[in-house]
Amino acid sequence: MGLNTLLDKLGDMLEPEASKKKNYRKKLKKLLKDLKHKENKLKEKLASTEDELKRNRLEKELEIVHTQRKKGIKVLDETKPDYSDQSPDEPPE
Amino acid sequence: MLRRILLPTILLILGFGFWMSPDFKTISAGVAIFLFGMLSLEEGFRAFTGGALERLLRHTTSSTYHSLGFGIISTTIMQSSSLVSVITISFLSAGLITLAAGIGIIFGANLGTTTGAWLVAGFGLKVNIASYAMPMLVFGVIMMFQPSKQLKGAGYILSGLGFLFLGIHYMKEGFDAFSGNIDLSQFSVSGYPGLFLFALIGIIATVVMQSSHATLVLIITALSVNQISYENALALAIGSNVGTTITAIIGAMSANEAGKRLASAHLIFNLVTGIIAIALIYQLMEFIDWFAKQVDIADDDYSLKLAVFHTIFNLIGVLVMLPFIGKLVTTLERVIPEKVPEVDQPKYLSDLSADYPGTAVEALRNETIRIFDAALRVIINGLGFRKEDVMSDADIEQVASSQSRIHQLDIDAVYERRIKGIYSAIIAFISTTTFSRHDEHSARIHWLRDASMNIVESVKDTKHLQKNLVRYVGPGNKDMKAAYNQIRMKIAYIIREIDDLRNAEGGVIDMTSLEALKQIVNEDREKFNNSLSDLIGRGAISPIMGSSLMNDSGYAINIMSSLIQAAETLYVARDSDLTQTVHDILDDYHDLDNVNTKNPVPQDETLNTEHADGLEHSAR
Repeated sequence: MGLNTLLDKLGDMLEPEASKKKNYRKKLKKLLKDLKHKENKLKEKLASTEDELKRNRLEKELEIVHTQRKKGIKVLDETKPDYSDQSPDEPPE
Repeated sequence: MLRRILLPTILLILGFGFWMSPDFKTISAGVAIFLFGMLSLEEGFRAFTGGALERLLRHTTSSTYHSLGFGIISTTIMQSSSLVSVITISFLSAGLITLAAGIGIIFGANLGTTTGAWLVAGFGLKVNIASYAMPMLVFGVIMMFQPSKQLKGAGYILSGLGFLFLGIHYMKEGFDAFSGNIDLSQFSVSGYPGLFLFALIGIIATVVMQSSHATLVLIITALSVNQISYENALALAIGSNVGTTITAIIGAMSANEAGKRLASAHLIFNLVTGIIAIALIYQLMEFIDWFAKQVDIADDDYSLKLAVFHTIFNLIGVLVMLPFIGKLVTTLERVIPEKVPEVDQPKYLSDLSADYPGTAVEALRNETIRIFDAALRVIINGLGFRKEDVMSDADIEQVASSQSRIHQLDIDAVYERRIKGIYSAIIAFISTTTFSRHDEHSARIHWLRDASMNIVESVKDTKHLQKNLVRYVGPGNKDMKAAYNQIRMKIAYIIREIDDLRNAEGGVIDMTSLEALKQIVNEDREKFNNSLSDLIGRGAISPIMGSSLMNDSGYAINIMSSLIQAAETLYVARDSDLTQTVHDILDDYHDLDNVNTKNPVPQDETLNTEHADGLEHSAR
């Protein structure tokens, strides 16, 4: 076990709230990545779809995913730690 | 194909027959009126199911001897075994009595009918209940118009009886042309061949004259002028006893399997009795002569001697057949099985799978998918489309506009056949599962139950919607037709989308896609309400039409929402679905303490609700 990992674990034990938030942000970032990927896929599908009714549904899906992503970014922003809280491996956003 | 041409062929043959022979027309009309009487009688007795009549019948037919006594007494009073047998068939068809009780009554009726011969021969008294037919019809119809269920039922019974007699009257009229030609002397044959021949003539004569009493009169006349021998006269009486079952057989044509079983029992009883009587004819003749001497009946008083014979051979029949009633019931139930409608049964649910939560959930899901598929089919057909119109790339609008009318689908019948059996099994299965310690499974089972309820609701809503759909998607108001076409196309579109989505990703649907569909349904509702106001405003449709449209658009919204909701439970993989993760992450966000909340997201707001107002949100 490296020194950094050990320090992280120690930090988690000493500051459980900060650790919870850190994990949450990690998950959120992964989700935002997935949403971005989904949005791109939907855009591709929309470009190749001619059926008007299907396009309507895809546009709505795209709108939903986009809104989800925007809100996710907002939440990520709100959970941004103060510089004083920030762990060394997490760069400022 | 054969079924399709069968009815027109029968109608054509009958039509040709009516054109060729007026007698045939009268006989057929008689049979038709008679059968109508039977239907009316059955309808009438059905009104008394569960009431005083059923209690009375249960009491009077509680044992074989009770039923036998009931048959004897009722036939003696009514002086018509045919009438008692057709009423008994109606009782049985309406489910008021059991087959064994019905057989007991029929046996009794065979004995009771012999009192007629005694009354005629002994006292010259002839009870003719048929003379009450016309008043029965009049009183019956008046009573049928009354609001009370009991009076209405009694009205159906009375008019049913009236029609029975009217039918018999027409049958007799029609056969009159044939009965005039019966000259018994030309058939005079001695020995057993003669007995069988005369029994056959007796059967035919009774069928033709629709009355065993009339045959008896014919026999007595023929005997008095020595047209036939005494033994042949007895054979005629035996034949007439068999022939009298024709009324019950005609009556059973309109009855259900239970009624047919009883008519068969009647025929079997009379046939067996007839065969025994023919086999023992010489012994019976000796016995009757001896008996006649004991009670001072003159040698040439054939009316009374026939009455004695009639009673004795029916008594023998009853004594011989009585111990076999149970056997007769089982045989008839086997030979004439009840037609159980073909009902789809569950495939995946079994007692074993209820023991394992994982298997149980999977089995339930598979079974729910089966009713979902069946429901989609019912809805598509109920909307006047075919499966291939909707579950393909076909232009639904073109299909809808090419239809000048749509046909009514018996949704209740299809529901009974394709969905109810499985749905009931699902509900029964869920009630047997107790996974208190498996929360995740319990929740899934709960959702699956909701999904199957949604599916059934959507079918019921389709049934309601179909009434006006059939009415307005036809010639008439063009705006109404266009509006109803819009409604059914919207539903068809949602079904097509759900089907496409589940087929595209190997049976898994993205929750976002369903959220998008919910938004579309909401938008449709708004658009529809606006166009409805416009239609009423410019007087294109009447306010009554408008209210129908309003209600039916409500049904349409319910159908679409229920289907989307069911699809969500059945096809969204909650463990890996992205939208589900979005919901979960937002829930976690509210659990975080000390969040830097510059602009906090409200607790009740999820990440994608701002577009999905109106519909119940799906996040669980």
